[in-house]
Order: sequence, then C-alpha cells, then structure tokens
Amino acid sequence: MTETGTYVYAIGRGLDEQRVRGLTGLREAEIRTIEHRGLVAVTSTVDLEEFGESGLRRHLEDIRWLEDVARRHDEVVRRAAAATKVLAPFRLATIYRSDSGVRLRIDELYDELVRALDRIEGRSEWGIKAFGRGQASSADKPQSASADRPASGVAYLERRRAELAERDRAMTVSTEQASELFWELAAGADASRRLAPQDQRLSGKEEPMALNCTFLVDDGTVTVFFQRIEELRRRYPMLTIEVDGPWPPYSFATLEGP
Amino acid sequence: VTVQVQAAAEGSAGPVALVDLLDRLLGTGVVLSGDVVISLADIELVRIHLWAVIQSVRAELEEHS
Repeated sequence: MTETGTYVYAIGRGLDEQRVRGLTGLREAEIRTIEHRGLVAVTSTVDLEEFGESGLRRHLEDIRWLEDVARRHDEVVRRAAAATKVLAPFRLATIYRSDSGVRLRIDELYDELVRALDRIEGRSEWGIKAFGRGQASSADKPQSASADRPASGVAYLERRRAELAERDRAMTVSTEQASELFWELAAGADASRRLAPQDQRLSGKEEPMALNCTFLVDDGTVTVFFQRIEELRRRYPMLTIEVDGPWPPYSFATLEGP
Repeated sequence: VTVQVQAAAEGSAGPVALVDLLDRLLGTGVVLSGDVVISLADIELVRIHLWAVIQSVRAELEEHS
C-alpha cells in the first residue's frame, strides 16, 4: 500500500453534497468533501508517489502530465462551483498528508478564506487579450514579385529599415493603447490583474500580444462589462480584443498565506 | 488535445486553451500551501521550462488533435 495524500481543488460555502456525489477527480479517484467550521473542501485522495514533492517536481515539467492534471483540476472546480453558493478555486497541486491536515489549515486561514469567499461570491473571472493590428512580422515572408525588387542592396536595406521602424512605432502605440484599455476595463470590474503577455509561439498569432489580463466581474453587471468592451473596440481599432470566460475566479481567490 | 491559444469565442463553451489555464493554475503564487510545498521560485522555473516544452511539443500535439 503506497502512501496517500489529500488533494484540495477548492474550498467553498453552501455546497450541495448530492450534486458532487459521483464526481471523479485526479486518476479517477472519487471526489470527497471535508466539512469544517461551515466551510467545505472539495478533495480527492492521491498517491504521494505521483503527487508527493519529488513526484511533483518530476512531473510538473512533463507537459502531458501537466495538461492532464490541469484539465481535470479545472473540470472538478467548474462542476463543484455549479453545486456551490461560492467556491474559491485552488491553484494546481495543493496537497496534504491527511484530511486532518486540511482541517488544520482551514483553522489557520479561516478569516482569510472567508474574506476570499466574500470577495468572489456572485462574481466570475473574465480574461482579456489584446493584439496589435498590422504588426505581423514580414521578416520571414518571401520577397514579392521582381517588379518591386529594389535595384540595389542599399535600397533594400533602407526599405527594410523603414519597415522595421514602422513596426516598432505601431508596437509602441498598441502597447500604450493596451495599457489604457486595461485601466478602462479595470474601472468597470471588481478586481483586475495583469498576466504576462504570452509568447507569440504560444499564442499562435501573427501579431504580438500587447495585453493579457483578467478581471473579476459581478455576474449581475457582466452585460455592462461586455458593452464596455464593445465601446473600447470602437475606440481602439488598432487593437484586436479577445475575451474568454467565464473562468472560476482562480486569479482572485488568492490568499496571502503565512 | 489543444495547446493552441485561440481564445474560445466569446461566451462559447469551447475547450479552454491550455496556456490560458496554466496562466491561472500556476499563477504567481501559492494560494494555500499544502504539506507538499512546491515553492514559488520552483513554480517560476517550471513555467519557464514549460514554455520551452510547449513550444517543442506543439506541432506534435496538433498532429494528434
């Protein structure tokens, strides 16, 4: 018998037990709830061979393992959230040696947990990304027809330099506009957070990502938030603005743990 | 399997892009550390390493999707 631990997906208030019964977590383990002081932790048992410290260190760098775990974690969080009044999702891989370890931690962080739950109740997370239009790299494109081929190497270099300068200028403008966009949206959200722009190779886009950010929005005012996005799309035609969500409020359930 | 970062169309229930998910799930801090603690610095290292891994396996995953 290998050693096991308790993996925590989320902690919430007002969970409908019936609706999480039968849910399966990581490695098809049954989802169990641990109630303590009016809060409920959504958990499952994991093998510490895989989810212990050395196991995690090894596996976190394996993209397939990570994707598998991340997607199951997210699925459990989303399903449990649908059955709960308010649920604070945890980040990946929060593991205790036992259920009593979970209770102990709830005791220690009770006030912070309650504050986090109050902060996110009735709200969802929405991600926004902005891309600068017309900044697709032309570096790798084959030169067009010989008709517009410059007569000399000097002329080519000059044209190339002008193209790059124009692209830099466009990028500066879109970065500034993206920053304005962030503050405009933040004004209409309950909380906001900037994430690192994703590398072009990851985003798979022709244009560089000028802004990657996420907002906590009251479910009751989400249409206003979307109207604002529409207005901003008109105001910043140089930016392509993408929205995704709703997300469980991963970015806003953060505790400043000891 | 989807490692593409095409954001799901607005309001649609398309598959969540893995990179967006990891942006949130690895995040910038440990939310509530368990007994098994992977420190913040390690998480950052993992992220950096991870981007490299994603890049290298991306084409392969696309073939399978």
